[in-house]
Amino acid sequence: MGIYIELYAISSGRFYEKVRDKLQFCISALKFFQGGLFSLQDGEIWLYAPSEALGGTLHSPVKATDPYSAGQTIEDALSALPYDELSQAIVMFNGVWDFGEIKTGGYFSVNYSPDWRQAYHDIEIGAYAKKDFADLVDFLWITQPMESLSQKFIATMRETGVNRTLGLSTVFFSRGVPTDEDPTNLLGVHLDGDRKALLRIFYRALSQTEDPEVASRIPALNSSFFITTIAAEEIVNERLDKEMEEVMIIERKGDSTTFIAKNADSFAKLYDEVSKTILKPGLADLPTAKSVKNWIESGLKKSR
Amino acid sequence: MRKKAPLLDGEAPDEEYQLDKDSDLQLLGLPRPAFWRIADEYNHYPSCKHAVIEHKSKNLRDSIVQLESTARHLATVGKNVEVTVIVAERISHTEAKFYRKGKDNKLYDRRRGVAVQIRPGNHLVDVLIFYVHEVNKMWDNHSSRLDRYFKVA
Repeated sequence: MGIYIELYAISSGRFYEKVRDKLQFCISALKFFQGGLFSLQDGEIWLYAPSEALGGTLHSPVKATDPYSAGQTIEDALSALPYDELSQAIVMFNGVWDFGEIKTGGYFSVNYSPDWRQAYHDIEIGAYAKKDFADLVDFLWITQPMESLSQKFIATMRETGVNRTLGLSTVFFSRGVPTDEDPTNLLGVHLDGDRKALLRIFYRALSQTEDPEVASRIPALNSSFFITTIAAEEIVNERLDKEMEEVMIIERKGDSTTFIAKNADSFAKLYDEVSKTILKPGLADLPTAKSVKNWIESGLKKSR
Repeated sequence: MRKKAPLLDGEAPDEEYQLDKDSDLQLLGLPRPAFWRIADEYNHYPSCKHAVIEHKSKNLRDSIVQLESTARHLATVGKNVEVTVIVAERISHTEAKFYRKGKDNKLYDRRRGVAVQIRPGNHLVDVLIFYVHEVNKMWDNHSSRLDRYFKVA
């Protein structure tokens, strides 16, 4: 696991057009790493799950070492699938990551199945764990200049979206599957919008903690209103600028922003700081959900 | 640092092969680098069980794929696999929608409502899952049992 890409629909194209465009994003990612760090060995189309142990069926194995021809063959095979099978398909491009002394298996996958997409996003790029390296991002952060590599990768992905039905929305560089409740496993993220989008990720994580001071207030709160309000405060922006600059490399391009961790624990540190100095103080004086409920009930009683 | 293998039936493995070592792969007759989706260990236990083990799992789906591929390759060179094991810190919220750990320590596929099983040859083997803290506790209990035994002896 390692790099997760989320796409959004730019235009209302036909279903098969979107299927093809999503595959094209994966092929672009594959071409980006092919030859230098990754060597493609084969491609596969799985139905329902990418493993027999998980109830999946291998539909079309393709032997190919060139991303272009592998993409063509897989695209032809996908277009021959009936809709009900295509909507449950998972395309896997398998190969070998070469990080000098360490070589390990890996994959680029395209998730068409809604279930798998929910967990593993539209496109997933991963490496199988080996020795002390649990994840692709571990290999990348140790062996590669991630500041420039991530920028080039994101630029390639954005270019792929030109004149297509799908565009690039979010890229997570994450140790393990990115989850709403734990942003500390992130090593990088590319988001639509500015730092407000990152605050939203941290807010979502904080809202799932069991801290009673937080849990008692969150249910009655409109999250967009809260984030927009705190992001408009000058004191918040000053604190955020200072804390982010210490641990992150930030790159703004148009209406999107990329945050790359300087160290493995950068996101954990930033989340901790933002929770303590921005989010929790912002929540502290708000009424609890119980109080709001009582006010609603008393208001209703008065109107009887 | 090498990770501790879980105990099975209260017993520690009596024979261990680390699958990232070429020498161990050679001993098992496994070719390298013929396949890349490889698990961490292949162990024999005194209860006559052979287990394929994947440590430090950050992603259960990847771990299952690694166990499946390794078990199949071992089967092709005539090695038995009776059980496969994942050792993980936890199951993340995202993956908890797909999998759960049963009371019997088997990994269950929530969508199909069945235990996840791997077919190395012509038989099915379970996938067990242990959390790291459970493995540490197993070893603590095991050491204190050995201490008691040697004190009595």
